[in-house]
Amino acid sequence: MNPLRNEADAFRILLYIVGVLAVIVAIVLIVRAVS
Amino acid sequence: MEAASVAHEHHGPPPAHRSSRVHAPTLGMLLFIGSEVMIFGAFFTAYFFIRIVSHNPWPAHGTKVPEAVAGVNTAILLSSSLTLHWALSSIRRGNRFGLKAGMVSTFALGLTFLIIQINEYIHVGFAPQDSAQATIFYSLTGLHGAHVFIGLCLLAIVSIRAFRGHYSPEHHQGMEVPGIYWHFVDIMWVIVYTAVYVL
Repeated sequence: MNPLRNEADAFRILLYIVGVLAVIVAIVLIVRAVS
Repeated sequence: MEAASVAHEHHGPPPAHRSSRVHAPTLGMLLFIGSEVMIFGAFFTAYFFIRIVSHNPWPAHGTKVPEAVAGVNTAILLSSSLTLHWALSSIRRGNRFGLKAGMVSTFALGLTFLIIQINEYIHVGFAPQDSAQATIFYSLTGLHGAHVFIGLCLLAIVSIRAFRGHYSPEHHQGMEVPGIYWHFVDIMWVIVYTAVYVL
């Protein structure tokens, strides 16, 4: 998958990045709440 | 004799030499986005230096970043990527109504994002010169805002062309390239929002 080849792949990469960042934010917030 | 007549029929300069198999406008956008990533990288370096290396509080004491409003703005910008994808999917299927409605929606959502961002600057309560944190806040969000403005100009051109009957299921490269750019702008905003407003 190449996000710079066409719009559809770029849109798919956007969704993946949103998902990954949501997981990162959730982990950071959980760690902050626990510590 | 036949080869000579074929050569004689050709008018204008010879086609430009292309060393890449990638379509030239797409390759241009690829190189442009590569340079954009480096620009944002420089700004993020300053952000992380101020926040992590220098151990400054984020945001500065006595200030607050409006994460709720920015969260709504994030949803608006992500929605604009969705409508842009709808517009492109529509033209691939030959649906001109979907193309036009998708482009108008995308432009309206992008413009709404920019207006809310400007309104946020008016009411945020600190100025760029107040602190290092304020400087990088305005720099990062302002750099992104400038990209949204450029993206809106591209979207306006695509929308006007769509209403003038351009694009077809076979020929819509003029939409693909601005589409890639707009999704890149959204990706950068999600990263900026996470770093500046959430974490």
